[in-house]
Amino acid sequence: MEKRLGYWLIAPAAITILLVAIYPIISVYILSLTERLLSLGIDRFIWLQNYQKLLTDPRFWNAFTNTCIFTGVSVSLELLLGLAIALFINRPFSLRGIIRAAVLLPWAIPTVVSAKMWAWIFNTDLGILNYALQSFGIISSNLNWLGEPTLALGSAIIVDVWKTTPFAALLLLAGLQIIPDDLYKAASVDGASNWQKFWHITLPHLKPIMLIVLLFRTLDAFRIFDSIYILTGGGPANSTETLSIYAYKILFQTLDFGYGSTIAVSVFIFVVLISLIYIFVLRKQGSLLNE
Amino acid sequence: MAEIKLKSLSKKFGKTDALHPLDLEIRDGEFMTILGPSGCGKSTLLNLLAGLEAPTTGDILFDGESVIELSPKQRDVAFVFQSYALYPHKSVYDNIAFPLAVVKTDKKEIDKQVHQVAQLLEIENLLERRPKELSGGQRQRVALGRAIIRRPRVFLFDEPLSNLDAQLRTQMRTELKKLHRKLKTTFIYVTHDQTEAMSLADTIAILRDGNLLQTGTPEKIYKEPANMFIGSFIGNPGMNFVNAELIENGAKVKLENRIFELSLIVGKPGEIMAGLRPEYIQIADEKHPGTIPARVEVVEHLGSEALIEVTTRNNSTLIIRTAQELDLSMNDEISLNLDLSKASFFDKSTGSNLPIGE
Repeated sequence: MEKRLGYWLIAPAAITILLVAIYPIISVYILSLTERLLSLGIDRFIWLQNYQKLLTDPRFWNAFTNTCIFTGVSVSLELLLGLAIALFINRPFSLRGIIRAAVLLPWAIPTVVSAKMWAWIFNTDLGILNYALQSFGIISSNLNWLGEPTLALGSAIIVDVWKTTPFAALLLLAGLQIIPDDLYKAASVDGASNWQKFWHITLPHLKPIMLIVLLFRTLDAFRIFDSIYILTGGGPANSTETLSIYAYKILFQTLDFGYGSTIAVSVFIFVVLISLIYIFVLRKQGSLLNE
Repeated sequence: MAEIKLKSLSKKFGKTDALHPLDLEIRDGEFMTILGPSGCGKSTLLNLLAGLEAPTTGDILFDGESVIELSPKQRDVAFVFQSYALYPHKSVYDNIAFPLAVVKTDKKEIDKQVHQVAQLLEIENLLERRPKELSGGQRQRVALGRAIIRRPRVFLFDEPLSNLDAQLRTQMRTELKKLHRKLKTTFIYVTHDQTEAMSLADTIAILRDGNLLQTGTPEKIYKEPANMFIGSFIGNPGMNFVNAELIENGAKVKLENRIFELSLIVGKPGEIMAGLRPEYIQIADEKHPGTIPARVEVVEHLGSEALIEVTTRNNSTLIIRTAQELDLSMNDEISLNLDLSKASFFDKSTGSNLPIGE
């Protein structure tokens, strides 16, 4: 009796999830097995042909490479800078409260706003970046940050690092604050140098949190869309086109729903793989620390 | 091995005085406990000794040399924490080896020493485990091992047994005492537990509100407390206090309407406080002129002894310790024999001990 009541009680939630999450996912999978071009009125089931096409599509592999470079570089930088900032604001100093709040600011600004702001900073003729670099004599002529294929991806990475380093810093700061002070005292008395304290106490304690940061950030970065879409729209010459942007363009600009869904499904598969790897590593780590 | 001298050492945190200037000497190889209620500044004192905090004024000498400028590492002290402060991700072996590993000691030498220490503390079978797999007592042994392995000049203990249950605490206390005898190193041991302090120490220093109140052997502190606070803080139960009157220039004391003749007490005639340990009071077999009548309030049987709380005619509450098998119950009227020759006397306004003249 009670069991049946339990099922009835979770039914509304289960149905909602089914409708808003499971159904769209399944329909994308089914779409990815069709050729459906609204403009030409084509709609037919073609099994795995879209996936065959995907494997030999140079633009897909270009987007994949861009996504990997973007993810690898931005997440590494965010972790390192985040750690440095966390270590810095964990020390007692005056104005610490204000600095801590200020550090969070970039993260609090909506991506659309900050991307537009950076687009102006990067602007070739009017941007403050070129102006600053020129006045310090670092460059002699204005650089086209967002228009030059060799610079555009780097610029997008800078924006992402600027925006999400605070997130990493915040999580790492929380991690730093739960390390018992006695451990550092013990290590001081035991003769450990600051570097040894960092290596033997701070890092091992932060490891699980660093993995969480990496997991969240890798998943986010791998699906990057909004800031790049606003900065460059995927250009120039597809040099900043990531998987999500490619999928969007095929889906909503070309209106090729079948192939676009295939790209979206590929992103889903990569994301699941990334999660599985992290969860595996986290489990191994987690068992070591909990006291 | 070190003899330690503190010279007008003090510490302020912002505007609060954690420690008022104090002088203290600790002999080489001595077991010194710093005893005081929480918030008395005893942990601060330990942190100053270890070099984890810098003093506001004063000097610390190890064997006659100032160590104020030295880092904790250079002072060559070992610290045992109440929280054990073991490195959770390291094995017991690596925890004990840590002080040697950070100064790049030869691996074979480390191995030899870790096993020696583990043998001494009887934790050889635990070396591969991690701290979370150990009981509290085992963790404290590992913490001790990590302290011992460096053969430091001074051991500092910050309430190391407070997290253990009562039985284990008694056992570890004995072991600490044995360890001190074996190592012959200076031990400085901070605690709020007077039983621990009494049973372990060669010398006890009593701190309260950042002031050093008294130093001395456990016996001296028990028998001649410098003030009423120490009298009540030391001993379980603490000292009984009874209103008394000093008369005839200190030659006699009037207490509970009786007059006692004693050695001369140095103090102004008038109202004073008499301090009586629970064992200085006996229950008299029968009423006779020297005894004091009292009524039984509470009887606490503790096995080998009993604690009896009584009220006198003058409304003083006394706790009596007795080994006698007495069949007493509430509201029984009894008579007490007071042994005032062992009593302490205190100034009523300052609470400080009135010296007894010859």
